[in-house]
Amino acid sequence: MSDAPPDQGDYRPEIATATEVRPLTATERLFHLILPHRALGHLPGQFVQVSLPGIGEAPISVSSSFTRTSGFDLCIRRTGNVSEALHRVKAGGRVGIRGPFGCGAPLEKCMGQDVLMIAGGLGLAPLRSLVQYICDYRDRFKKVTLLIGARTPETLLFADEYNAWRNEGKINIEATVDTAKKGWTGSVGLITNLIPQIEIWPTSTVVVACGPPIMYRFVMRKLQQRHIPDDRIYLSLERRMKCGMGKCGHCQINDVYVCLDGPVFRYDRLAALPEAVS
Amino acid sequence: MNKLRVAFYSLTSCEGCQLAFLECEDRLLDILQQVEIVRFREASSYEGGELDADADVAFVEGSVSTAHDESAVRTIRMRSRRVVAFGACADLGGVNAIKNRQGNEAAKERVYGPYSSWIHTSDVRPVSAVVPVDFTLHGCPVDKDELVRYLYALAVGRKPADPTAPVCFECKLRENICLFHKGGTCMGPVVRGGCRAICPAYGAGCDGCRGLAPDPNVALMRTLLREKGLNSEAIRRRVDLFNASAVPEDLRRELTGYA
Amino acid sequence: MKEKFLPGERVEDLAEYLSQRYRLWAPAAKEGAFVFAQVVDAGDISMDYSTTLLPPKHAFLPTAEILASVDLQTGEADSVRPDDPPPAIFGVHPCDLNGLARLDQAMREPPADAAYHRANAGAFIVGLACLKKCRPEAFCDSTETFRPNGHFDLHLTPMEGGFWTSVQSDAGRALADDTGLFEVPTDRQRAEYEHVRRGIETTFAGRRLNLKTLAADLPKIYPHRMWEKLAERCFSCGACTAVCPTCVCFDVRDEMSDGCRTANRCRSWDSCLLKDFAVVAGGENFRGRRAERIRHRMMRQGSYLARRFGLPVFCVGCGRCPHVCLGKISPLDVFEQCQKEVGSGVGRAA
Repeated sequence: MSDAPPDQGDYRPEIATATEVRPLTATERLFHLILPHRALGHLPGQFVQVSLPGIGEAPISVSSSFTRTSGFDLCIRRTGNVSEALHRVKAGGRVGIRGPFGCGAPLEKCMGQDVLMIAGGLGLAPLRSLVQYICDYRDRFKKVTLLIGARTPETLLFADEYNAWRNEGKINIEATVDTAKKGWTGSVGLITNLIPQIEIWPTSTVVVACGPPIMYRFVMRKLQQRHIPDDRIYLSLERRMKCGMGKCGHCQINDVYVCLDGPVFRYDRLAALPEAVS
Repeated sequence: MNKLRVAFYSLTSCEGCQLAFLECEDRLLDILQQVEIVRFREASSYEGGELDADADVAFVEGSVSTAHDESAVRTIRMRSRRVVAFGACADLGGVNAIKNRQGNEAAKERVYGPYSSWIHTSDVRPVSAVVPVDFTLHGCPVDKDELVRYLYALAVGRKPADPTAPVCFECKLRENICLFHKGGTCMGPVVRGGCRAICPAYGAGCDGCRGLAPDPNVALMRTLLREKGLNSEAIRRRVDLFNASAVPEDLRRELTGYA
Repeated sequence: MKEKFLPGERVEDLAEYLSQRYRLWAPAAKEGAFVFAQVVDAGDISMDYSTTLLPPKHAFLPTAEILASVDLQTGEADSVRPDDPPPAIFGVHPCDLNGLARLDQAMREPPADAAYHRANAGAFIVGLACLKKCRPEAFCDSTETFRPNGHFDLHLTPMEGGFWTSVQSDAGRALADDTGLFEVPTDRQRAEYEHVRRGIETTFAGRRLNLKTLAADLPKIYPHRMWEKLAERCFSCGACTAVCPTCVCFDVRDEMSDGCRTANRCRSWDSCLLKDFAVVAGGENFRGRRAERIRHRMMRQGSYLARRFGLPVFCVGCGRCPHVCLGKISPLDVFEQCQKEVGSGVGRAA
């Protein structure tokens, strides 16, 4: 496919090179990708369509902040055709990229505020872009807290980066796992159990959560018990976008296209979209 | 790159699906760039054992209706990385399964008369009832283009697409006139497509060779067929042509109206 | 707008002229029904046709197409359909003109769909007025789409001796001048056309919807048991969306061809009525129930897309979906019932 950057709205991907491929867990790998002619130019929370020729295309949130390098990171869980094939790509390999798409995380809304990030499972992959951004512009934010939930200690993503986020980023990190064998010193239990334990100023905190739909149902209950207004809570939604331009209809929730208006939505807006977190 | 090692096997069937592969004619040379055929009795002069090859993908045509079928399919499963249920018989039991509703003895008696005691046969089962199946190619016979797409997908290590849209949808895209409007009947609204509505396109109502589509509205289907004068027995025959043992009993009752 | 008169015997010449410069799509007979087909011989065109099986949408958005393609050995990308002349659609009824306008709005809303744009650059559209309702299921009167509403280059209105021709675009003007087929209308022809036009307004005067409030009314009955009742008559087969001039949903898939030497990115029409349309990678289905899916379609056609594009209604009332729906579901009935529930219908409106 063409080396020249395609027009906006095209289905022809640009060909990025994977300069580094690193296994994170048994099922997730982190790819560092570089485009030939440009930086991706994305904001935290935006996604790209990543593809391999003849295999298919899948929407994947970007896992790194534009403040770090000219390339970008994608964290890929092995679940379907495209992700399986991507796991066979080695350093030096080439993958197709379209995007970035979506409107990303509410950076302006977070500035000057306490930020509470809640990441369930693979949800940490998109949130890592926000974490990195916050670390790089730490003085623009007040108290920053990151709650992380995973099934087991082995499935925690980016565990080797938590120390840096804590120390250099001055981010308060709490991680919990559903089940753990001996040797795990952190919490055991659901991520929702962490919410009552942390200090929250409801009117000066912005919450950004990313995780599976089931997590949102319980997390929302706990956040509302802590009196955080709905217009200060943002959830990132997963949909199967085919085009990324508000055309194909696959990601439509009521009258909203996740690929254009999301994937990060303010909760009070979602209340008017019954299909959002069904 | 190593070629994909592909084997074609047949159990109880007419072997028409294997023929569909051979009918790919002008594409066969392209296909053989990607796959190596390790067993294909219908198309080869090889006279050795049939089940002694290891394959990446085994296309198994036909349903399991004898002890020999059952042991063969178990052997195939053990020697193949992936097993594809190849065509309606392997997928659903297919036409062979009509006899399941009549009883083995009665069926044998009717077909073989005084020689029926020579015949050993069991209830007809789809391949998936005996061994785990990785993928399914639907249809009686399978669609050639779909088969080629399947082979290419498997050759590049991808799970083949398995569309679930009902026949009705594809029939509209093909600009066919609805058989119900022509005074006929069709199972298209509740049957899985992928066939590009080939039967309605030639004026024949869909008989369901690809099995039921997901979430079929069988109650509405029955109402429509009744309006066209089909009674429970006629609907049952229609369903049994390919799906005698493939439709769950509750749906079958709702569809036919039989208690 | 400029106005011309096309003598009846020259309509084939006009089609002939178009077919030499465009890929010409026109209504043609098929088994007692009609389809928009690529015609070579202008004599195959049916000017007196009732609604076609599929709308002319597929001239601009094929039911299946290759969006991009790459030769895996050379790495060379194929530009798609580089040398084809642009498409022209001849004899489009007003419902379908409105449908094409809506399709265009949806596909060109930024970010515009580049593949659609490439396929349609330089397209030419000739409309054809309807003097009477084509079939009982049509409700272009209620959706007020029996008028062409401007989305054409030339628009023909049948009248005595030929066709009154409205010229809308520069391309239309240039073509009308270039062909030499058109005449300057006489005063008598003008009066006759006015008579025909008023007749159309009278014929299509029936209104069963209050278009001022429909788009706002529908979301009010989002939680309502009528959707469950409707689902009992719905196969969720997607036939309604397949024949719809304003449904734009599609699927994008990558496939290998030519012995895996070429990789294609393929687009094909899809349907929000199909069971797995809203399934995500994790396996969750956000519109898993039939009632949710038929409701989504009605909401899209009556409200979501109408509001998005500043229209009173997105559906154009062509009547194709109630015609093909074996459960006899009609958007008109659904919209009307909605307005009854909300109390804003034409029956009750002040």
